Amino acid sequence: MTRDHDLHAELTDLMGALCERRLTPTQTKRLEELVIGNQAARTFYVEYMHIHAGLARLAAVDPGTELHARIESLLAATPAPQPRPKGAPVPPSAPSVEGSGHGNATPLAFLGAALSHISWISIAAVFAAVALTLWLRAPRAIERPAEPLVADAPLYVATLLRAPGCKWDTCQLPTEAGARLFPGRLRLAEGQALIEFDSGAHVLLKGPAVFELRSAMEARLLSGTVSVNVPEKARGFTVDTLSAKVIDLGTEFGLIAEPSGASEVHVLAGLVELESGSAGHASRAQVPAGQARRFESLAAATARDVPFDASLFPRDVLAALADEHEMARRGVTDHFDGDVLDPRVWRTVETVVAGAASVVQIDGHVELTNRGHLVTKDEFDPAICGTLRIRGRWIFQSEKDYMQILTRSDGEPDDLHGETRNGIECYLNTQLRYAGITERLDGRNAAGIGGAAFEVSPGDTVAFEVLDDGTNITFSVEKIGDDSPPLVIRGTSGLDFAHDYVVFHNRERIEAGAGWRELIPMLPPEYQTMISQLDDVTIEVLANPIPSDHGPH
Amino acid sequence: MSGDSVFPIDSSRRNERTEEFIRLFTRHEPRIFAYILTLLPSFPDAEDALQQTNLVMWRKFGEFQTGTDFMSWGRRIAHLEVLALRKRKQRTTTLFSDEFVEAVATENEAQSDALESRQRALAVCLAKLKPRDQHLVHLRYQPGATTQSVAQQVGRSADAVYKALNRIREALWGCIKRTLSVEAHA
Repeated sequence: MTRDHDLHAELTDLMGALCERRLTPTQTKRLEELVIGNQAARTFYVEYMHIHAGLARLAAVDPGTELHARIESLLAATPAPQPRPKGAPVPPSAPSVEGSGHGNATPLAFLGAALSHISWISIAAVFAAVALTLWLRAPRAIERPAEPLVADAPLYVATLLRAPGCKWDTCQLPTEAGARLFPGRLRLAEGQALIEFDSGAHVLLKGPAVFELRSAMEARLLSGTVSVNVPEKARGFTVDTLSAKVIDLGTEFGLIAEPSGASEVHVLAGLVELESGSAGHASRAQVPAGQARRFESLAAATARDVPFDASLFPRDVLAALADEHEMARRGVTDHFDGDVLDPRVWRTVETVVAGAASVVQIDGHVELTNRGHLVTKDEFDPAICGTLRIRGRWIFQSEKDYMQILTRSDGEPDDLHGETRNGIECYLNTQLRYAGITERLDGRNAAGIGGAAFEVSPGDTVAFEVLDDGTNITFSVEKIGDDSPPLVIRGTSGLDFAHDYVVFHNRERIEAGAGWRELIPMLPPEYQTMISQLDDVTIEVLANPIPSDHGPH
Repeated sequence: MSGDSVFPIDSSRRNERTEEFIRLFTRHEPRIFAYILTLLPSFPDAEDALQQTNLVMWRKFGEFQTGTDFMSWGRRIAHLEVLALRKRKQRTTTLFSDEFVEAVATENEAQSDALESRQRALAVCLAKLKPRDQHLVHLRYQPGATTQSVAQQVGRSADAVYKALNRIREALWGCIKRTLSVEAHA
């Protein structure tokens, strides 16, 4: 009895480790020994794996629906229970599940009794009918992504770079731009989403599509259209569909997976290798740029030529987005020489309710007036790019003006005062003689996350530096030509917004600020227009995390 | 080759055979998956083998004799596909030995008749789990889920989730045994 108990306990541990991919090589060997050499162990192994399989089938039929809802819907979909043969009694009380409390504690307690009336065949038939439908309509919809048997897979395999205007169906992965993605399935209902695999491959998914990330080098298109761009370092990146596997040999291709199981590959540049057919009937072929192949059905082992059509794939968008991302990596350096702002780098927003806002490049610097916004053309998402460093010089011209620099921002003036709607703001307030960091959320200061006194007056030039790694923010200011020590403020914020522009602006025209209206009569006229100068701006992405000791320059 | 060339017979006969395939497939596919998973205890591998098995069954259904054992026929095809996949993956995946696979395949055949009643009991026992445990099972058995991803979702450590899942499967195993025992003596 004790020996049986010990064997059962050992097997339970081993099976748990096997199912959760924690089985070590030693445990694998031990499990093998037991299963091969012991009938009881063999029986237990098969019974346990049947439970594992049953649970997976239950979840796979309709991923996303809670288990209890699924059981309920199965009951609803199951034909009315057949009367039990006479003399075949219903057990008075079904056994409870040890370790899980009593059935009465669950909202599904009634199901135990209800299910005992129902033939499993009918339940299985419902499961399987749905599974078959999925299989026929959306091939491999019930499949799972690659996972090694031994648990050494990295947690994340890719990053969702952009998803502007995307609508998502229920899916298991995060769908916010900038989100890191672990192996799993994306269901894009509408729009275009750019994914960067950790191998360096870029995939542009065009909705509606179901796309499964399997590893940094493997993906599966279940339905829809993708454009794939693979740099040399990710050579061998593979995307498969039900009917074909496309192995990239350092190139660019488009792939379509149809619900029928048919798929088409169009080679946009370079060369790809195609694999198709089932075990024992596999065929391989290389397809060069400008050609396309179509696999008709689930069972097709060979492809046929079809007219190449690059317009089916949003290749330009992929290239543009990838370029944009690269530009963000390269960063910005601008000394504002010349008479006009570089339109490739900057945009300006002057629609401030308080009025008379402007942003102009003049005399080798930018002049910011009455909260005119200077906004980067590119987005710099520290969660994607890495630690962002923004440096420059700010020259105060007006009493009571502010220096305001934002990261992770939409760059949109919002309230009466024209403060920016969203972002992480680093500011220096001449009126309060105070520097700080605050979260701007939906047009209000959501939370101050650090600050300290700092004396500054009109005519002062301040060197500034902002570091943002997506969580930690360091804001440093130092007066040029002054012996006073630099000020360094540190704070943290996990706020992540839809846009990640860098923004510079000063204070609004005071006379229109509602909160200040009663003060206007007391202020000299020259205080009513706010002017600051900005110069020598650099925005860069650092390879290393935020350093612990540094000054603004 | 397309699906239309599977049955080189007239269309009404073809429709009839297609319906028969769907009926048999519907009934047996979960059991074939369970069989494969015991031999390839990794979901992606098992799904790959299942997919190939399904395709071969579909293509070769013309050879299947109506009235003979579909499950047994499907299991033989699945077995060959498992061996083919093992051969393909030998170099990249940790696998059990051939001897292990053969021993488990034989045990599967011995347990084949009990599988349907065991799956029914699983549904009964699942319904008895605490909502919290049901939720954990739901999360863990979503496609692509891992112990780690579930731990993140529920805000518990991976070890705690690991232990909870093992406890739940163990509890289900015990519950199924008792359920079948009660039924056998009823």
